Amino acid sequence: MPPPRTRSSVPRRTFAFHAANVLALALVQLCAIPGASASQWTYQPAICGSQSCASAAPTLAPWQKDVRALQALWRDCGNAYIQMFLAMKGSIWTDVFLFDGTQAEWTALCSDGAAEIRCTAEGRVWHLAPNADDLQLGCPKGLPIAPELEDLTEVTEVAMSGIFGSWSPNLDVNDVAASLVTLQKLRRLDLSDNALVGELHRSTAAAVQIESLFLNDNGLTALDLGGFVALEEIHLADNQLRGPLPDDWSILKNLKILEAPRNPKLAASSLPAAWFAADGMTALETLDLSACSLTGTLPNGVGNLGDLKLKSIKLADNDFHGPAPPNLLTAEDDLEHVDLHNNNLTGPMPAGSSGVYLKLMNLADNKMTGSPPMFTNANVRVPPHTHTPPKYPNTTQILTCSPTRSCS
Amino acid sequence: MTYDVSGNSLDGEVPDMCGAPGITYLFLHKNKLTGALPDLSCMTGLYEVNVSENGLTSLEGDWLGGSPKLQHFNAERNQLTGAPPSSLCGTFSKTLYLGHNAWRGSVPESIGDCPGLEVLDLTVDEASVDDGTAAGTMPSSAAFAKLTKLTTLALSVSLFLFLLRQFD
Repeated sequence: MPPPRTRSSVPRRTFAFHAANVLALALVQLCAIPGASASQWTYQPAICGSQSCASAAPTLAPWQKDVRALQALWRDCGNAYIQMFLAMKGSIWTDVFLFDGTQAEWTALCSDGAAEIRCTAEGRVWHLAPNADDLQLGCPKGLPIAPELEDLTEVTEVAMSGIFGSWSPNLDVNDVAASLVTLQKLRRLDLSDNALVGELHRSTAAAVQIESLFLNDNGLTALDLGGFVALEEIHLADNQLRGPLPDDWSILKNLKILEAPRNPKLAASSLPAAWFAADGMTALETLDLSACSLTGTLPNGVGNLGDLKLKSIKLADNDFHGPAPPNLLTAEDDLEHVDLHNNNLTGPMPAGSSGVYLKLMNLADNKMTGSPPMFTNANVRVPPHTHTPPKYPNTTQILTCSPTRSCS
Repeated sequence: MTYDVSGNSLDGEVPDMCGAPGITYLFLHKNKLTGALPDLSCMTGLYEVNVSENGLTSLEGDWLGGSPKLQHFNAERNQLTGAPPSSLCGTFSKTLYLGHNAWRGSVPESIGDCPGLEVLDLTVDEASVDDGTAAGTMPSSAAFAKLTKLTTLALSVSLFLFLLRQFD
């Protein structure tokens, strides 16, 4: 057991101290050329001291590079107005963006009970999850955001949900993700609710290590996931994905959860047969493509959807026609959710099964005939596992990672 | 568990569904089901049942009033006939839709034992009043007096036409 976390012995800076720094920072920023791109700004990350960051770089320790990466986020996306607002709130980000202290001070700051940044004993950031109420950034369009983020080589999870949207809508997803997706230890990346647009390119996303990707509530139009070979879950709800759905997502052999409901611009696309073939997405357990205006027939096979045996099938509010797969309710003993309501399915109701873990069976508002399916043992047990528990964001993991040992 | 096959073209009788005792929401409405709705007392978790807009002809058993968690029951717009079950609702009942059927009998006095009832719909179609099949007695005013939470009571067609018939 690691020792209990204690509050930092370094006293939090006072508001007066903040105010002086903020004013200085504001002046520096006001002197920046109006309308200039971020790279032309005169503001330097504070950790670099009086010399330019370029010449300071070789002398910076890894933990200092982590600080610089976070400060670069500010350099590219901050502004004096937001900084003053943060200072008034007493946000940790004011401390972070102005930090120019020692390793001990940094380690104290980033393990000071803040959920937003967590560090190892060496001061290396392993968890970065700014609270959207605490930090909102306005980044210029058309530039990679804080390339220094690629120095965060110990980071395992980045949750930046709702950080970029309100001050800088329509950022290109590649500009935001470029320096993050290649981080060698990054397993979980959350960029949901950021008003990101565009297509995630293969060149950006050669992300062989990422297991969980949250991109829901953006305006993405397409994703090349060919590089995401380790991907276990992807969340794409409420985007602007355009059809057809890519056949080559079937190379995602570790993918357990594919959730992309409410992508209305997929209209008239069908389910790619390759996904549901015996050599398709073989690990898939949960599929949600509700309300995407999909059409075509549902794939048939030895499983409950094609040859796959899913625990959760959510394809409601589409335009699928033809019969429901005959094995829909019987192929998977651990079936939990089947929702095909509001389609144009015809033919007889599929046969029921034991349905031990079944929580939802909704086949309403179709054109099916026959009798209501019968179950022999429905919903008499709570599933032993609803989904794979998240590996990184839970508290147990946090305690074992910090502050006495690194998370590698 | 939610079991919803409403809005299809299912026909035949409602099967014995006691193999699914965990069902909480049972929706079979808007189909072409016929015959009797089986006794569902085996489903002790039921919270809402909707079998409206089918061709059901009877409700089997007196389980409705004893269903421990049932709050909403809707069997309107079927062809239910005969006398309504003697026990229609229980302690937790909130809405009870039995209208637009072909009942021939009295609404049981036990309706007064459903203190939480908010909606009671026993609307009778005009046609069945005209042909005289809607005959029957309403519960006593004492039974109604106990339904203190009732916000909607739909008897209008039957009561109105019933009264009219008295002056024929």
